[in-house]
Amino acid sequence: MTAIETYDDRVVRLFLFASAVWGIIGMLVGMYLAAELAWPFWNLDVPFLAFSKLRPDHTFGVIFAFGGSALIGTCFYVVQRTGHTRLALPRLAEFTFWGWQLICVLAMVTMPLGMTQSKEYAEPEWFVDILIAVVWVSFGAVFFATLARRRIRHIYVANWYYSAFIIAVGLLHIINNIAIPVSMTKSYPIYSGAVDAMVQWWYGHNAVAFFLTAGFLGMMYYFVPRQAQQPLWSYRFSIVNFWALISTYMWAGSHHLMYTALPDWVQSVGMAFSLVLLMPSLGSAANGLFTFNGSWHRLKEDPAAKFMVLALVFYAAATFEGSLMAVKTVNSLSHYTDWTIAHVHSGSLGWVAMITIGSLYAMAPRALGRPAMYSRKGMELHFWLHLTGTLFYVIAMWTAGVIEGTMWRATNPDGALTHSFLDSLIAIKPLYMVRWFGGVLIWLGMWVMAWNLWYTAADARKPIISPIPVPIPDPEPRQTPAPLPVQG
Amino acid sequence: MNPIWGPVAGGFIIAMMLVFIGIWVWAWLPRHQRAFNALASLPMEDDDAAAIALDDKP
Repeated sequence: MTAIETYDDRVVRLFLFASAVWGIIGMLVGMYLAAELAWPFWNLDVPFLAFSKLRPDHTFGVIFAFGGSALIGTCFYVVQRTGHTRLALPRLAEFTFWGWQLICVLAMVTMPLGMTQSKEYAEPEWFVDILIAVVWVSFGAVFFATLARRRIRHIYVANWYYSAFIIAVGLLHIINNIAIPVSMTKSYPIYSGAVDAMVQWWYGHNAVAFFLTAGFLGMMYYFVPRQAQQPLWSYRFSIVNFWALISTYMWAGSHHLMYTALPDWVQSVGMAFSLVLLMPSLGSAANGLFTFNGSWHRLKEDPAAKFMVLALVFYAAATFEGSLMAVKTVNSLSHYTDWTIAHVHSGSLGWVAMITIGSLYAMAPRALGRPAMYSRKGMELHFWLHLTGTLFYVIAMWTAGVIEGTMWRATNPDGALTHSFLDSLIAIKPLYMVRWFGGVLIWLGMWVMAWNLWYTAADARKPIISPIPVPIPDPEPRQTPAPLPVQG
Repeated sequence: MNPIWGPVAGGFIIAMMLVFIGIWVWAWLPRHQRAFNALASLPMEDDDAAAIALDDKP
């Protein structure tokens, strides 16, 4: 009997469901925080429910728990398919899954209790940071070991993005979190003053670059051509965009620190690189959208494709807006206002969440041994809930941001401020309520996805699904290097 | 700042520009075309799953 090698999708399935669960939890916290901002009594005078204590749970929950689980899961799925090989080091892959879940639980329990470094998007204390480093190295080992045993010579472009995501996030995490522990629950960073701020925003900006952009572009470059059923519009262009993106993003972090104690020339470098960044960002968005050329009819019948196309539109819009906001004159109006919140959420809800949801809907049936998702109507409902919620959210926050910016800079002829801070808060209060409503719609959509995935996974839960065979070409005579042995 | 850094930075920028142009040239080399065309279609292999949800249930 001829041995058959099959794809190892067990860990992929675990990450798929973890992602759905963390999506609900992370967005629930976000929705609750939005309610607290509109109606402050919702903090209920409970210390760990205060906005400041709970906010890191929202950001960690949606970025690292929801987004991270989706990224690692799709990465393990894609690297097998684009290399025609089975996942290497399956035990380490399993360790990566349980380790990542432990990290998410630990971080989200300790942060509201006050165990925090107070570094945005890097709040967890030293003991969680060490765990993150260990699990991240394990993730990288599984990915690169699988890549090393691929049967296709060239490394598919999605894997280049996933590689950059793994290497850069590991580097950023370790450098930004170098600290001296002074007790089991408290540490102090080795950096101080303006250097601390620069290191923090070199990390913070590149977390956006390599976690929320490069990682999800990896997802996009695989799942968009697959769902469009069209070859990638320009493979060559994707290579140029890759190198341009990773080499410019690294230098743009200082645009988060305009008009601060940072040297002026460092701020200008951040602004200049942010403008250059427009080209690779729009290049990738165009490559994804043009891939749908000739396949636009799929949008009528396939909600997963709809999620992907809207994700690319939001990606183009949010990156254009980001470059614009990095211009010093625009930044003087937008910074510290809710415009920043609108920008972040048009990127995270529009681009990141939509490409993730589209990719999960595309991947789930295959990984769960079904011909299609359980309910197309459920997918359709989710699409409209998510899109409407996102539009409510970002339009409300754009409006609030411009109101705040213009009110804060208005002065009387004698130079005194025209409006007090409280005036601006009262002016935007109705928009905070609209933001909360948008959040509710998005959160309900996540429940619809979880319900749909649960029923799609009926066979996988029993478990009665058959593993998918790896397509292995017949060896050529005297093939060099020798073909890889088949792994059961 | 030591004045030597001006030419060093200028030289580095020119080197990076040449690397970037080199990446364009490498990507457009005719000998890569066949492999890149095949790669552009690689995700479509997984086509069973691209099927939309046809068996719609309430």
